[in-house]
Amino acid sequence: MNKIISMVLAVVIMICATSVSATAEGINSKESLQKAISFTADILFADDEPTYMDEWYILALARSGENSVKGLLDTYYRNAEQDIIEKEGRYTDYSGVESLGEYVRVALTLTAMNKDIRSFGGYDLLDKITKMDFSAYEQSSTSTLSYTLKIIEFYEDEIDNAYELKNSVIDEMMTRYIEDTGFTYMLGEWATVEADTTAQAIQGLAIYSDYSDEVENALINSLSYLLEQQNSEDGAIMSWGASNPNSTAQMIITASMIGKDVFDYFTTDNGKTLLDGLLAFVREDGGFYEPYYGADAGSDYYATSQALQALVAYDRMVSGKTDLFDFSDLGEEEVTVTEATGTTTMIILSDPKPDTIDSSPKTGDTSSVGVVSLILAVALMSAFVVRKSRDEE
Amino acid sequence: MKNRSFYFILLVLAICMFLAGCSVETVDEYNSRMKLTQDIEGTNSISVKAEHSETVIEKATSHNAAISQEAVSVSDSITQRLESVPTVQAADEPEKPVQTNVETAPPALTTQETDKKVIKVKIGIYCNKAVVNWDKLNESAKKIVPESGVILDIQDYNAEEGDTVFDVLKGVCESNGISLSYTGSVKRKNIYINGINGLYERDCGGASGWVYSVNDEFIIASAGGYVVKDGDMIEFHFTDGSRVF
Repeated sequence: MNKIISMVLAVVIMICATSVSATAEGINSKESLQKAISFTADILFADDEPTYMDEWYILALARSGENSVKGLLDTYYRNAEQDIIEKEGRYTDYSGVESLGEYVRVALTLTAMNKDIRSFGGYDLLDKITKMDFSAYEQSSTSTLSYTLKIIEFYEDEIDNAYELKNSVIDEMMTRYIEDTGFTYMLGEWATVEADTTAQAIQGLAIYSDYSDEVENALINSLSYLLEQQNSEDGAIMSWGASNPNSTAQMIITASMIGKDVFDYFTTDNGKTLLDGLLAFVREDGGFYEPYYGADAGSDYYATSQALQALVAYDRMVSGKTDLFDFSDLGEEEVTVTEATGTTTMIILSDPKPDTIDSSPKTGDTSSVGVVSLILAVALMSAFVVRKSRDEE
Repeated sequence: MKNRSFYFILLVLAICMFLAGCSVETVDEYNSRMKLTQDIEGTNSISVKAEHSETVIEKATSHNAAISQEAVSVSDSITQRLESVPTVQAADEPEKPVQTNVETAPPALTTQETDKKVIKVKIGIYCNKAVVNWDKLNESAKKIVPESGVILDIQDYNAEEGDTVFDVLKGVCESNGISLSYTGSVKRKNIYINGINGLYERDCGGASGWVYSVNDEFIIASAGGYVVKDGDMIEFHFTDGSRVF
């Protein structure tokens, strides 16, 4: 009897202990998220409608689950659809060559909006992405490849060579990994490892730590690299030697994907977190500023779009939702019904993806195991980094 | 017996974890948590709190209504700020004779055009890295890359107050007949420059492209957001992807 009581007690206390610390940061970030959404809806897009190129904002808004932005999402869809019709279904670079990155960014955004990417203005974006010559993949940035993996994962059942394509993308990404450090934007003998790309590469590869020892080592070393880039004063991630909202935002998206523990490891000795680092760049209007321009230059388009994504990603993690780029929750649409008495939230099942039997082996099947081992790796690493920094003092 | 001691250890471990979890919680965090608890308990209310402030204003409205209220106040303050800009500019420039017009004339817009201050900057455009990596250059690019590595030697440019590095580049390219290729919008300030004088990103390896510096500091952010100041020296460089800074 005693055994059972102590067992139950132990379990209860363990659950309590782990859930206590998540709340304090949650409140601050939630408020910042609301303000960033307000900035986007009421200032940025107030008299300048969202369209093609504004995808990172639209994706974040769609994933925020906020009902008040639904009109904005519809406006984006209408404008972007008009745009692709005018472009005759071709997103190209200056030389007229089709660009993988453009298709992937739009497809991710439409997916987040629960729209059909196979019939966008009459064009099939999934076909465009998966049937593109692989040289287009080789010419793409590491972050584009990372996002491409998300598309392949979600539409796996609809892609003939999903397994091979996924493996090819992972292999291509690994060519941009520089031994014992992190990832570079492009392949090249001069290529330099930088924080943003490294964080984005982890976002794509995190669930593939069991793909090969090479990938696992790359993930661990990349996290270690990013930990070293954290500014011990303000908690932000540094790029080119200075705290940067974009790099910090990408690291928050990455950490939100792996798990809350990562945020603990990325907490500086003086108690600053990644969120503190990001929110140091917030402006009164809810947008974020670019340190190169200064706070007085106003909220910056790129910094705010990434910060908004980061705040949504963090909010999804603390609310127990799937990560920013894991769209497996899309069958469930959350509808908030407002009544005179208050707010009721209910889950409506709509258009669930059909469960098809897939005999092909999936690279991401043991994802949870991989992520857990990653967390442990981060724990070991952070201990190492702390020890190293103390040795240096 | 073995089992019992195992559970005992487990219990001690759990209590330790619990205490550790509690001990890191500061007074601020405790207050925040209590507020969150209040929020969860009262689902039809939302608490709006100033950062680190103890004041909690309970609004007995729906979630959405509270959000749009906040939004209105934010956009209001922005509108006010935008409207006040011309006046502030006029006040900053007492030496200008048009200032009297600003005071007597109805709000700004009519006088704004003539009222802009001249900002003197210098700008140059270079592609040395394309020259030294000639073998890696695209065939099409070889035809247009000057052997000197200089597309535009440093020269003076009169910018207007509020102009960005992109405005200056666009102006100098127009007056010198240099082609300019970019994406993004001036209004969004998300300009991305992919080609100058027919030399494009990736013409010299996958990571090649255009970067810029202001007063010898390389700026890793859009040229469409950097507002120039008097005396700024702007240099555009074509990089092969290696660090030029």
